[in-house]
Amino acid sequence: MEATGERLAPEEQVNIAQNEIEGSVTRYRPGEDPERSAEVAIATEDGTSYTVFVDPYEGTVLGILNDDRRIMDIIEKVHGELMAGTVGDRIVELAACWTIIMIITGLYLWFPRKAKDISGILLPRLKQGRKIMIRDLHAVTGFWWSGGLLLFLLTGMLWTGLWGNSVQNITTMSGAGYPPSIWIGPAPESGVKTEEIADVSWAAEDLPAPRSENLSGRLPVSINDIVASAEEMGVHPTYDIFYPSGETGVFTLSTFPNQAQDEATVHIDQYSGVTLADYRFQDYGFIGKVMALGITTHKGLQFGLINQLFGLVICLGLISMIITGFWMWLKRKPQGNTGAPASDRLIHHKVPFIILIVLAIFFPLVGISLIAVFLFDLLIVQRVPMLRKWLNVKEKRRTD
Amino acid sequence: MYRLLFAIFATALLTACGSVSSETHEKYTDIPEISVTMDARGIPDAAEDQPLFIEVNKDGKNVDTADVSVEVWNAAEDPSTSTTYSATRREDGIYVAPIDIEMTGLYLAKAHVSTGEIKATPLQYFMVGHLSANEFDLLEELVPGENNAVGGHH
Repeated sequence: MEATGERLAPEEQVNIAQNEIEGSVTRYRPGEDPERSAEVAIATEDGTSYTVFVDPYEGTVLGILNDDRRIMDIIEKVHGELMAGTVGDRIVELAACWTIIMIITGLYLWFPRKAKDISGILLPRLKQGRKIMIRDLHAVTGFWWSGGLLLFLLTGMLWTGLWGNSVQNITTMSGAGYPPSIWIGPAPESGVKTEEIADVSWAAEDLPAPRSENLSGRLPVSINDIVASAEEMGVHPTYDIFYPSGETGVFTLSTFPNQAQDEATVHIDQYSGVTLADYRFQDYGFIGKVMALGITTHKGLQFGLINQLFGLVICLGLISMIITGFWMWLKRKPQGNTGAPASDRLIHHKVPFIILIVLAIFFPLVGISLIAVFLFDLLIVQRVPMLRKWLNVKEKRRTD
Repeated sequence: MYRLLFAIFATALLTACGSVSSETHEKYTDIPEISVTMDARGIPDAAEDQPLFIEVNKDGKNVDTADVSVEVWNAAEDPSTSTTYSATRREDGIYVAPIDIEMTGLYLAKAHVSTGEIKATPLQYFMVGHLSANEFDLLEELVPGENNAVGGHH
């Protein structure tokens, strides 16, 4: 789109969009670049949300997009919840939790106890046969990659429905996380829509009594004023303005640009235009700042190309560990069963046991999955000889 | 083992509980209670120099250092036709703008209030005299349902 002449007022752009789609305006985005179209999101009565792209100079509609079909949104849904809503979200969370457990227990197994040099510990032994090479590629890569992997896993977990929400809840409530309304919690509310004039006795003691039809009341402020406020407050130009969702709702300016330090969430009273809360990166608690930086790093945005290459290397490392781990299991696996270690009372192995219990408490879904496995073992595996043999479970073992 | 599993399950549930309330904002920012109230009762008819009162409060106290002006225009016309009036502070901390109204009808007033820390642009409609049928329709557009409040004019 070419930037020619004066921009139309935001309200005019919104009106143009409303002429195309009938519904309530939910969002306006002026666009950070002079050559970028403005976006107006409109929700129709049946709940469908559309984005209308408006040329802010010519006042023409450049296109209309059903928000359910935004490619990046679809990719995010696959990445975060396997396109399966809450169930998918829990599966992703469970997989991420168990990957963290695999990394920690893997580090425990890797930890050198009788090492004489760094071969096989910090450097892979590539010339001592394929078996040792594969083992070292798995273990040594795992050690070197573990920090980056944990970073990506833990920051990714912040989006999850159970652990992520709990972490956001606890840190926000404690004052150490994100301020309320950014990830979790309510926004401040707008003042009442209509003041009872009869209650305002201060101004007009000497004025004639109001006539019954002498009516006045407040109206929501114009989107033009909200945009002007955003510019005055120096909000990063990538911001969206979310419209109030009800009579006590607020206009919310929100932007999450590439650098966490530029983030802003500003709530504005819809009737007075007063800024109710203006949250910037510096207002976040310490953990909130760490999370914000972690999230932009997770998304590959914080440090640009280097950040993305780092993410790629970590991803390739994870894939190589999966392949080498699978290869080692396949080589060791006896015919006819999974090759799982003979079942034993876990309590006899104190360190892994404590690691598991701590992680089961820290990651609730791990605790729940352990209970599910325990019940599966008790109620099904113990009673099905074929399963018992396949999983290498001793018969009539104690269940405590 | 059963007790241990129960403990894990209970902890898992407890961790997932709890919620952030609106009071939590106070841990991150000071949200002052600011109100800007306009009172158009001093404008009952079409006439010149009628008072529009504006009260600016912060945390329940009058704000005496604000720059206040008011834009007023007929609701049936474009905001660009507005006239801007400066408001002066009355002794009791209330600001007053002298408004000229040429004819009865439905009007909109937008105050511009600014101090070092407050910026507000509240918008308010007010009736001067009786409204025509068209103006009632306009009022209904502006404030759906408000038409019924004055009853029987349509």
